[in-house]
Amino acid sequence: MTSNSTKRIHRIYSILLSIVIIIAGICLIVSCINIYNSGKQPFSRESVTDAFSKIAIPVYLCIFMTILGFILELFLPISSTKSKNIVSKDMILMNLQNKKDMSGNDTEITTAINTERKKRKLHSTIRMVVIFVASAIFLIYATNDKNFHQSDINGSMIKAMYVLVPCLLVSFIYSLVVVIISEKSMATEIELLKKLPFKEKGSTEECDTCSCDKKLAAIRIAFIIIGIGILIYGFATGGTRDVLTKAVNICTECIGLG
Amino acid sequence: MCVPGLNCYSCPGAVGACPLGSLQGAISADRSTLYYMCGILVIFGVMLGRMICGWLCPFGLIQELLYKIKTPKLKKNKVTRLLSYFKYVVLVFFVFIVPIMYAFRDTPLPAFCKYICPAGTFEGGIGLLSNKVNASYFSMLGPLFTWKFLILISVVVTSIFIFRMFCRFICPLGALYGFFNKISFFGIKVDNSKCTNCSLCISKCKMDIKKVGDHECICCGECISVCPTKAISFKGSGLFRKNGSLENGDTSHKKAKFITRCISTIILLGIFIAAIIFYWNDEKPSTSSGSSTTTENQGNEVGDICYGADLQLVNGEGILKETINPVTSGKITIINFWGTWCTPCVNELPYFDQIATNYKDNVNVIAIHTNMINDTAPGYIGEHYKDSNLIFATDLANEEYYTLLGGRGTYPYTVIIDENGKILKIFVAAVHYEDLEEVVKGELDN
Repeated sequence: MTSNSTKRIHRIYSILLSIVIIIAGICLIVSCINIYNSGKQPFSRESVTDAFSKIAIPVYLCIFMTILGFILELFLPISSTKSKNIVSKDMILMNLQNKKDMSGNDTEITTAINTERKKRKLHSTIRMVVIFVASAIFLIYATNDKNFHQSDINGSMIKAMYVLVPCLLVSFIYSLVVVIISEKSMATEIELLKKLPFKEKGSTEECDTCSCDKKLAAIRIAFIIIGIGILIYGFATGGTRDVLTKAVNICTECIGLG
Repeated sequence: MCVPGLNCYSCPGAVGACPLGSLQGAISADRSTLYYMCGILVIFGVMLGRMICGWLCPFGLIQELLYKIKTPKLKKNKVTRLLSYFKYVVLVFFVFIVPIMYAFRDTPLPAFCKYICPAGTFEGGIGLLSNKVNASYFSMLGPLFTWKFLILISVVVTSIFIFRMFCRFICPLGALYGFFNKISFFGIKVDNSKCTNCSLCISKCKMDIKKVGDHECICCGECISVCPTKAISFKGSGLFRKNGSLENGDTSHKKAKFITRCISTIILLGIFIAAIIFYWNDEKPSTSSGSSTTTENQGNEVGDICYGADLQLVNGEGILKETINPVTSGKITIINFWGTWCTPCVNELPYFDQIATNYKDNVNVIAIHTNMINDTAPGYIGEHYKDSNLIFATDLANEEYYTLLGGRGTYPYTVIIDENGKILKIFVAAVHYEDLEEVVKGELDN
């Protein structure tokens, strides 16, 4: 069988498998919600099995197709193709910034580059402010004792989500906007940097690795000493025994059972 | 003992505790455990960093196996990079803030385990439910399990299309170990003098790293084989892999790969067939206990005569008092097994107190703590139930009475018996006042 037809078989198989998996996933989610909404509480092993048996076909099909994939791979292996090396703009920019000489006389290009950098810096600063404000709003809510009720823990958590989710969404959407703007700005800067001459060799700064290693070793030792110290104190005060007690006794609510 | 990876210790087969579950438990209930937990997390972090995620985490393994299913994959991009910061939000809110806030109210709440952890649902929840012996656990399923089951399905399905979806976007344990990645003894290091900034390593990596060895790097070592200048290696390497061992293409390697695949397929099929055989042949074992005091009518199911035992009573100062036998008390007796570390147990205790007060002439309510003497329980009782009508007692050695009454390691567990010692009702989950009152009233009316 030719390489192209093998690839085609694999492609068709992978698309079919994806569809089956997604259908099985949706079926499982829908069944789960249906079981809960059916109101036939308390549930029993039989009632849950009955409800799930309706979606047995897509789930078994999913398992069968997965196993089929391994067999397909075994007897009809696809020759591995090297994936494209997609270099991120950050890396290209960093390389160019290290190599290109910005101290030249071409003030028009350097001004344009600096404008792009300022633009990115401004958006990054605004992003930091947005994240900071969102975090502050949420932390003020989350650290207020009155927002967490003992009698209605689940309700308190849902209310906390009403505050957390908008804060997260605002931060996420603005960060996404900044990413898009930065991508465009970096592309412009890369084009501008390409026009500049290369730096002379030997002008790059080298890191003092020796002192870095010493600092790292000191930090490691400090952490190890702190860790061992706390651990020994924990042993002495019965920490291991309490972990064992908790481990052998299962809190059903903690694993989502009820 | 705590193991380094995300491993639900409620899993029926677990022999080690999950560091994240233990940490939340320590924050919310057992302060004495906090030192041990912090110490062990620091040592794990400084020794291995996120190498634990790449090499030791069982839930990471499950996700990697799912990712091997041959489907089109969603590659990393700027959006996934942004989403990777979500795990820090989960860490701060669910692992620290919520347990701390409820710890001030003496209510243990491991919020991440309770509301999010799919490893707990899979290894603990489904692990317990899949055993026929635990068929009664189905009665306690409700909105919480529905929610957690939806999270589990979503994680499983997305893990097939997105590499280590849970590790990258949600796992707070990975976020915690990520702080140690740069200073850990073992991990990945880059020789800057050899590095040409070609970024082949970054494009090869499936995690959302900005550079090799940063807080997102799980030290899987995939980048070592692609580096053209051999600038990347394991910290303390030589222990793991010989140089060039990853380079393939020769005939012997292809042959070895074929054999490995054959063996893997056979093992996979074997496990699948064994699971089916085990499921069909797994007969429900007898639930009667092997107690020496067993008589014909005694048992631990509704309608059986309850096993009796002399239980030692305890007051708020932890001082042992006289003993009580719940079966021979001549009253309706509610036996509740609880723990200070267990959220639903602590939350339902006021209902038992209410029943004990409202029906004090007809009902005895005995609350038996899992580990009364060595725990924080006496202090808790002294603070919250000093003048209560509840009777607090200790279990026999190694929770013998709990096991005798059919307890299988899950809490809370409540057994109600009538004046003659016959079991009226068993609750394997949290109860409300109305549930208890219904049984008591029903019995009194009879």
